Amino acid sequence: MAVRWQAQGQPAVTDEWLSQAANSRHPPEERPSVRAHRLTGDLRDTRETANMSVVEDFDYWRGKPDLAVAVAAIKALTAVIKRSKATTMMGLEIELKRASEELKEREKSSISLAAGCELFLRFVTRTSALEHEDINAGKERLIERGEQFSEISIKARQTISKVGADFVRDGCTILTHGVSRVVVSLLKLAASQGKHFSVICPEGRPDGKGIQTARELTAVGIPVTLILDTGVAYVMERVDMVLCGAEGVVESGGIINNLGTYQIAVVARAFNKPVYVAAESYKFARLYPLDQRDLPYDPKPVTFAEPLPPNMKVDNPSRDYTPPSCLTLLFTDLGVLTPSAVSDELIQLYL
Amino acid sequence: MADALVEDFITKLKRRQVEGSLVTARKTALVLRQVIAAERKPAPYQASQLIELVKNYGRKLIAANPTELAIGNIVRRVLHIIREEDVTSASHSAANTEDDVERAGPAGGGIAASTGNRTALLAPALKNLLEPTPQLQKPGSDSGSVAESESKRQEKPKSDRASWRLKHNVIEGINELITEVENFSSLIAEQALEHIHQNEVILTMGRSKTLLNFLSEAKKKRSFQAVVAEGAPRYDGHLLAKELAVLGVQTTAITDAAVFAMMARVNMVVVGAHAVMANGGVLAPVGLHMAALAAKRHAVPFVVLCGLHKLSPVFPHDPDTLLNDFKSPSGVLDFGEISDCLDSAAGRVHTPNPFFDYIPPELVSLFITDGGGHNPSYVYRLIAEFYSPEDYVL
Amino acid sequence: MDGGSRRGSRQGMDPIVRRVGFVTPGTEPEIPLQQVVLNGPGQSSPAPVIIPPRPIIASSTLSQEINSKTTAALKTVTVDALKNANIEASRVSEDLTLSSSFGGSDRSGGEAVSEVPASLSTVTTMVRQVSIASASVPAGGFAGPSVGLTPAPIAASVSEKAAIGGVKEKPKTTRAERKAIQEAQRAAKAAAQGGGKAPSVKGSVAGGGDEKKGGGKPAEPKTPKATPRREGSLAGSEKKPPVPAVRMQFDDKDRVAKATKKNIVEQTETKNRVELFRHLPQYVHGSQLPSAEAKFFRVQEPGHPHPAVYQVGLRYLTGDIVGANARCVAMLLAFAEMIRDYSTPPQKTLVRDLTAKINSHVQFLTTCRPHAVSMGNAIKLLKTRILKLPGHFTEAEAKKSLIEDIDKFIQEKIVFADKVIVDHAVEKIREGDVVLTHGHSHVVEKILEAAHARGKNFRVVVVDSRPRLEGKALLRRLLQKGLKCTYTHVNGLCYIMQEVDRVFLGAATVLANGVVVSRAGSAATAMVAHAYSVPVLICCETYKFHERVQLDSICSNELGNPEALVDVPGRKELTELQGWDKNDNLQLLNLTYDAMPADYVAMIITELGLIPPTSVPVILREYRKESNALELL
Repeated sequence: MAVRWQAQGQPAVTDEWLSQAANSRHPPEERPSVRAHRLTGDLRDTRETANMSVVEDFDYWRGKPDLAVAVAAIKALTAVIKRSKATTMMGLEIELKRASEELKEREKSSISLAAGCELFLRFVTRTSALEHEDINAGKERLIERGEQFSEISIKARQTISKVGADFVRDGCTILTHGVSRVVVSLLKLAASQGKHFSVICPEGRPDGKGIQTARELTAVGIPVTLILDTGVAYVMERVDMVLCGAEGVVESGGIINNLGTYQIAVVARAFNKPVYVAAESYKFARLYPLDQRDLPYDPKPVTFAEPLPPNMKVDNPSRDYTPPSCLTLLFTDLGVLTPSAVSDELIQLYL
Repeated sequence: MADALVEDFITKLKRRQVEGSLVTARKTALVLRQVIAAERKPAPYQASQLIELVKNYGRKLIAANPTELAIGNIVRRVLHIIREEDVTSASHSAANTEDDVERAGPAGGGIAASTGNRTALLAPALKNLLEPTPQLQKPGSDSGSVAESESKRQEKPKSDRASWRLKHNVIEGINELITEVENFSSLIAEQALEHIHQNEVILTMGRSKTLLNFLSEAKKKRSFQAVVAEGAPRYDGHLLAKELAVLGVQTTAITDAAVFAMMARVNMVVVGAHAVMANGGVLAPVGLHMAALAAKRHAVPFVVLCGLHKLSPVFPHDPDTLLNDFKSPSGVLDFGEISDCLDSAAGRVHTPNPFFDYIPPELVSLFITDGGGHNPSYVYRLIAEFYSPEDYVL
Repeated sequence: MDGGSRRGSRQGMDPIVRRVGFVTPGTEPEIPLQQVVLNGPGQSSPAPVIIPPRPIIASSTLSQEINSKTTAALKTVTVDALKNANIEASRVSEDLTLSSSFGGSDRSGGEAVSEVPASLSTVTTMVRQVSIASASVPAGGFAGPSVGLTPAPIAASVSEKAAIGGVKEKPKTTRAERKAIQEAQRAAKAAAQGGGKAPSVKGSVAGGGDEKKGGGKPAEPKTPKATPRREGSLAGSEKKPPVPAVRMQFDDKDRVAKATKKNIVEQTETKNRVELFRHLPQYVHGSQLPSAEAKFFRVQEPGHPHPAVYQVGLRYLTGDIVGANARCVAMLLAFAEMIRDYSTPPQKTLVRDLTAKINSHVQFLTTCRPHAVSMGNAIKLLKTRILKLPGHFTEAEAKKSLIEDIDKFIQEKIVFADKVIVDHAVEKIREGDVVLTHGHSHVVEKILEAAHARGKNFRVVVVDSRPRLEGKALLRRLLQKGLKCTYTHVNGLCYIMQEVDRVFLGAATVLANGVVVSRAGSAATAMVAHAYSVPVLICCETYKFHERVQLDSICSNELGNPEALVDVPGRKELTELQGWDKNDNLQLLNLTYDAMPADYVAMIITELGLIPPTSVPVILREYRKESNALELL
């Protein structure tokens, strides 16, 4: 039942067309040395100056606390479209591609950023296939959708919360990991539905992300127990389910999340406890890691209590890969998916 | 009079006089067909009206017997049929209309519009993430394509015919559904020879008509042995053992306690199911979870036979209680046997008598459905084919 | 983190060059990396562990012979075989002389060695007849929880050699030698009946075999040579655990016919046997009891069991006494009665006659209901005790001593053991626990009652299974004591297990590989408990341990009355299975026991303490040592 977005009557690739595409390529944009023009969001949207770079845009949106990385990226890309002087969809596509490369350079290791950019580019490709003749209509459509994306993101979070809150039973104990906006909103929704449950948070050294989650949950009255990262196996026998977010969901159905997720998932599997992942669908990435080393290595600095001798090595990656065999279900805005359904979605997207 | 029919059915459901997913499914489909046929609201009624109607009745039926998931499944199938027919008829009418000014561009646009409508039928998918979510045709309101509603407004008398056609198509669709539900058993039995081979030992528990057909089909060409566990507290394994022996299959009847012991010599476990959940988990008669664990321990494939009408888009949040039916304790322990002991201080004996067992998907090797064999991990896809995501929550 | 190897520290993609054999690093010469090192036969890296050359036991040749008529066949061993045997006899290591001497030879005439497992017991009998071991061999050294023989091929070949020795002796030995041999045989027969061991036999046969070589030397000079070997093999037997006797397999028609000839209780085999269980006896349950009851008063008939024993047998038949402990105690008390009333007939020794009587009684009880392992162990002990009676005891003293022994056994191994087990187990029940048990185990019932008496607050879940429904009795007794109970059938295990904290199960026997044999349904209980991470505690006295090993519930089990499946109490409408025996295609199977694999068991609670299932052979070893030590006193 997959719908094939192949419009009827594809344009023939003529030389004329090719040269047009080549001409539409703009020279690389220059970064202004002074970032003095920071204005409020609305005004920025209407600004027509071509001297803004996509990276600046991205930084600006990233600054907003409630916005996910992918959303900020897509908003930045939308701004690129607005500024674009391309006369064909093809040209626009090429511009966007370049811009997304710049963004990926900016945050080399962010999986959700890459996934979000990919998704947007894919959407652009499909739109351009549809409206290849009318650039203005195409641009309009793209801009409209891009601006809506943050709504999509927020709605996604709500859908996930609704879907996932059903799995929280009265009297259950949930183990979380790291900090994830989706997970927190899911638990808040479940609490507001009148369910009584308790949460165990491993502290998440050295960032203290778990403590952050604990604070947020305690603020709404959910009883939280804080444990060390090393205490996960100890508590696992009294835990009913594990709930975590994801930075990216990969093609096999596994997830990439901050360091420690794999460990918790393995322990949960040994105890036969379900592991649920709450992730928005724009985090689905076209990666297929086979083991931990297949991921782009992104070390984080960590300090220890005492100074270390010089020949001692420190290995602190920021994230790890959890294979789908350890996961039970994924809560996404597309509904509740089994890990095998993720691959289905990605195949449909990129066909 | 459709109401009377529905009321009668609801009463039967409440009293658990209708037993078994096949019977329930069939009756539900018949009742809904009656309801739709009897719908005499003035045209033009749009699909959404029908949908509302079916949803209302469906909710009542489900409430009468929440554990009988087949009711919900059939209601959702009917809703899916309505939505599909709606889209197909819309695309037909779009293709047929000619003097529509609003329609921009060639027929491709119309098809795009109709396909745009079709996306309403698909589950929210990744590839549609950035698309605007199209609305279903509401009377007089905007549809996904402005052109559509225009055409509707313009052509009232035609829409009468269109809506009659819609109803007709829906009823035909329901008839097809009923036929499918009635014939699923034979389609499953056709696959028997692929799985059961000469001199194999097949273990089963409880009784299911599908299972009997499956095994008798295999018996025609291959000779195998059957081990049947009696399946307390229903003890329908006794009947199955007798039926199999009559068929000429070497049958050994055992108690449920001996299932683990016998599993060491069994080649395959074949069972029927009450319902299949969206994650691939199975609701089966009580005792089958234990059999599945034993099968896993002895590396014996555990095959579940189920018709597609047993597929339910519900996720098992708390399968052992939410979706379980608890029968009278007297099935397990007769009151007369311990009544004298109950005078003492403790005074109470808790005697749970669950009717169903939940089997998690990792214990199931294969689902054999009337649509072929499937891995438990593929169940989500089957569900997406037959149900519309808007109907998952009725 | 480098990009390359995930498997430890490699220098790159190149294959690793390895040295074969146990090599201490730093002692061997440097070998350049390009050479592929192969340790051929001529090279100079000695393996520090020297594996002794394998004994040439051609077990394949042994297994070729299937003929079970061992006694007759033995006499047909040819001279050729013996000649070949002698040549090879010198080649092999000491305590395997005999076996190897037959291993290499072509078994041309060799119908001698029968199918090893089935005939071991007949080998034993034959060995007893032929053995030349003198009474000087302390036969008590080998008494233990089981009758054992050293590995079958050795025994078989030994017996063969013995037979050959016996057969071959005839033309060559003088009358004096023959007399000496006969004396030795008679003495050895008496000794061997208390658990005649192959080592002693071997030693003696070695004497006999070499005798032939030596050409007519009498047995005695050889005994010094034989004795060190014997002692050596004695020590060897201490180290080597005796292999438990193989039980009778009921698909062996001839043996079954032979055994049933002497039956007192009439037994007709059922029709509609389950093929898979052809190796187990299955008799029509209705017919045994009436005929047995009818014969109750025929006390004067020879071979008729003592009335107390007969009564116990009848109660087994009717199912009045169930449970390993109960059956064992009942049997032992009946035997005590029997011993009390026993008087040695003239012309017979107490030891031999009493042992024969006990054997026949045991045979009778077995036909009423096949042995539980616990009973087997008790019988072994009793027989050992009889053999160990000091020669100077009068009959009255002997009887008194035996009755005391029986009492001691019951008190120590059952009653006291139960108390200790209860004490240990009660510690494992915490406040607020939910404890699950299956069926009705005598020990578990005691544990639960004791815990309740100590004031612990807990709930009991009783899981019951058809067709015996023994859990109902347990439920009644617990309710009467005031415990909070839940009752369910075995199918509801997966539902109820989520609430459970501990599972306590009794056992019929615990085997040497850690497998626990218990009532049918216990294995399923343990499996579900394991799946839900609930610890399973087995409560079992050590006298129920056995060196046998078993992999699944099929190889050894007891078949109960199939009719029990037909009717469901309280459900008169279920009549489908009536008339099942008229249908050729339909069989009913009523398994009594099932075997739970060792990894499902968290802990076994015995009177010796809490042990993991992997330590069962340790207990067996210690138990044997302890009983050996006792008997040498």
